[in-house]
Amino acid sequence: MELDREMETYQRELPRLLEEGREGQFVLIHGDQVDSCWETDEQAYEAGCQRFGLAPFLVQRVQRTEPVLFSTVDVIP
Amino acid sequence: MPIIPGQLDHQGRAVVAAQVSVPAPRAQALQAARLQVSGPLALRGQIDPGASISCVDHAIFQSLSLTPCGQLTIVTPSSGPNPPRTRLYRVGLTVLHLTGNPTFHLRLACVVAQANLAPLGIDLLIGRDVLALCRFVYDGRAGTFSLEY
Repeated sequence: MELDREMETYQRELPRLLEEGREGQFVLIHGDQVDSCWETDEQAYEAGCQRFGLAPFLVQRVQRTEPVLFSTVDVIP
Repeated sequence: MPIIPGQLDHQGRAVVAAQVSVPAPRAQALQAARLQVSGPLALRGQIDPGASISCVDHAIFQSLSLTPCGQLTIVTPSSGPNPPRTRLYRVGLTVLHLTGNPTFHLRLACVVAQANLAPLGIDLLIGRDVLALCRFVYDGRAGTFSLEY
């Protein structure tokens, strides 16, 4: 799936990000590199578009455990 | 505060007119690459307080040349004990006020999940991430609903 590489980077870097007090911020990741951290997902997304153009990038909230979300319809993997 | 009144459809669903568009940063990136930016697409959106996150039919993202910006695990009625991860997309979302006056539209930038909604006759599921900004009243006896924001 798209962004699998970026998700692996996030999981690898998560302990360091938490140690730096980044919990609740939004991290911008491109490939296997953490680019930057932002206060809002909107800021992170804008930075991603400016820096990486149409190339894939991940915007991910830094959190110890991922929340469980629910949908009444089937989502597509 | 603007309010959208409506009649429940024959399945008891609260359906509103909406638009989804390319977010401004993505539009600028497309223009920089000399690619066309598609205009907003009209959607039929069902209001669903049972959904944590809003969902858009997967075909819409392709039409707007959008690519995912995240992944998330979402539990659904048929996902079983190991729900799969799904792609997340950032979009511009507008719920249209019945007057057509843009001042009264509900506009927001949000992250949505992709789903297969076309078989349900809708393109958009408006979940609690959007409803957190609204007051939604469902009157089953009267067969009406209202969305205030």
